[in-house]
Amino acid sequence: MRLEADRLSAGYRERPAVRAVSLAAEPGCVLVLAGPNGAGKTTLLKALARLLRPRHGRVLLAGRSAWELPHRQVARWVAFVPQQETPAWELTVEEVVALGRLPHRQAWWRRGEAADTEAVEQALQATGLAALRHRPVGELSGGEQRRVALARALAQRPRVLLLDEPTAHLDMGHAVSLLALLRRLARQHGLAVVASLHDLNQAAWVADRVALLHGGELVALGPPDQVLTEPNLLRVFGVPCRVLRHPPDGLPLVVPLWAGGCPGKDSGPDGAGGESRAVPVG
Amino acid sequence: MQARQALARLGALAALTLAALAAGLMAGPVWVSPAQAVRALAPRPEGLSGGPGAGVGSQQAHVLIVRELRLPRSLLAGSAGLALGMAGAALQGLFRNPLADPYVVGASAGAALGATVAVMAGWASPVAGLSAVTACGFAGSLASVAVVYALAEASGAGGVQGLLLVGAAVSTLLSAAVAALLLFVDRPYLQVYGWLVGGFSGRSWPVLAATVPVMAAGCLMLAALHRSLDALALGEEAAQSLGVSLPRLRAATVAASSLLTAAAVAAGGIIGFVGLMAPHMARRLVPATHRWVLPASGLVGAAVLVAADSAGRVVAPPAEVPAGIFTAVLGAPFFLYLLRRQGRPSGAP
Repeated sequence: MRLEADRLSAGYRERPAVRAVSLAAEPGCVLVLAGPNGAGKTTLLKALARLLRPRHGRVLLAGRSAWELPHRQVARWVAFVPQQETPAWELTVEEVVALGRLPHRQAWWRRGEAADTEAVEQALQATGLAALRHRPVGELSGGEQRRVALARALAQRPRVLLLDEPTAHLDMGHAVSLLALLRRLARQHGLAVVASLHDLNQAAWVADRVALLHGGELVALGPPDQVLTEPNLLRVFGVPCRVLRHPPDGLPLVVPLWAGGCPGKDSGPDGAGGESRAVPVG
Repeated sequence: MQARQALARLGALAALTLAALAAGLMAGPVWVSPAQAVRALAPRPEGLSGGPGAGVGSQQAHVLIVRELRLPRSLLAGSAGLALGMAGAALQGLFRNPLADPYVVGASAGAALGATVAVMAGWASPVAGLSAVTACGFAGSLASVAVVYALAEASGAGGVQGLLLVGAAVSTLLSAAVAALLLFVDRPYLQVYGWLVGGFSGRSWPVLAATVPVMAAGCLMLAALHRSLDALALGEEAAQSLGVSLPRLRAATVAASSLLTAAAVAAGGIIGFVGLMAPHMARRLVPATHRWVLPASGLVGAAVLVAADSAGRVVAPPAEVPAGIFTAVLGAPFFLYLLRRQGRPSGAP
């Protein structure tokens, strides 16, 4: 299912955090939102998730305005994984993941059906949480909690999956397996995936297309090697970068250049002094 | 925890509540033995089968005590406890805050103002089985919650936090109004105060008949909301992205819990602490999803309030300690003990 932002402006109070952004998430593709802090990535994701009403422009879901569709219908099609999600009470992993079936439930007095159980089971397996299913979510590590939130969204069986910083708090191994999972969901199950990522190399690896945001505006949109260029990154992040080619597959590999070379290498005998010098020129 | 285990615990709580009710039939200034209580409850109690000339035997007195005094009164305490426990659990769920109690959105201050006005105006004609004072307390409770809700929505102060703040402000205002009214008159003070402190002394079948349908309506509404309240535990955005309409959930939860609370206040006055404590005890016994927490909180509240009412009759006969005082005196230390044993409050966000 295609999710589209059409000249979308959204934000809180007077100043819109997203201004006139047009982009589309296509089924089977991964779209990555990149940009510095405050660029409007989270606001854009929330507007796409129908959590934040746009000030101008529209959000289109399969060609129809998301705000004219019934709320529950949107919830059956679009899942959103926020940056942080810790339950207020001692809910177990399985209880939280089962909440993903809420939009599909016919009536409040009906028990879960076989399809619900199967969706929850597959989501637990896909995120590697099956062994933790009876643990209270509040007792898990930050990375495990992120995976619980993802599993909850997968149990929703959405057509569009929106994720805000899904790899934050994840170690390298879990980050790679999560990104691989996102690609698999897009390629094999035809989901339209939109994720905001800070790590540009992760973005280059997982994305079919990258949307580079700066100050609420769309700076560049396209395949990673056309968007993650040295001039674009200098302009948006204020850091001079060298964009190399990743040896095995030729994907862009972004290496920031620090003033005076690599930090810690030229800081004299006191190695700790390198910390204060690791300030990028801007 | 498996569903079967949770169900077993719920059954144990129900059995405990029934045991408290049974004890409530027996305990009091006049003790009734179990056999006498059973005989009194039988469809044709022997004590009443005597002819018109029969003297007032002790069995007949037992029948009167059990059937007309203790049974309706214990059932009333039980249903009020059930209502307060469920309302507390629902509002804690709505506010995602373990400190919320049934009175946070203005139910108690409104009830106090309604009862005060009724006493001062000298209204006496009963309404639907309730005394005029109780009926005005019930109406005041619902009215003040409605005002709080309308103000919070109109101010756009942002969801449940706005509701909490407006509730605090309106409660303070109404309490000041009650205090001011009581300053200008001396006679009704004790009457109003006695009503507020609560207790189930002298309450019988008509009060039960008037309040139970209201409580049943509140319970049914909450039963329909349990999954939405679970989703809200993940945060407002997560709940919304799962298709939960926050304005509708807010309105329905406030409506259901204020029906329960107002009915409980009509049944026994403003009884504190049960609605705060019962959900915490429930979450230690059953899974934290509202499907289990709501009924378990209700049963804990019922058992506690029936026991408190019975104990209040026994400790200093013939005087009675109102159930509200008893729950606070026994409940607060027990609650502190629970917190200390667990090391942290359940579900602190």
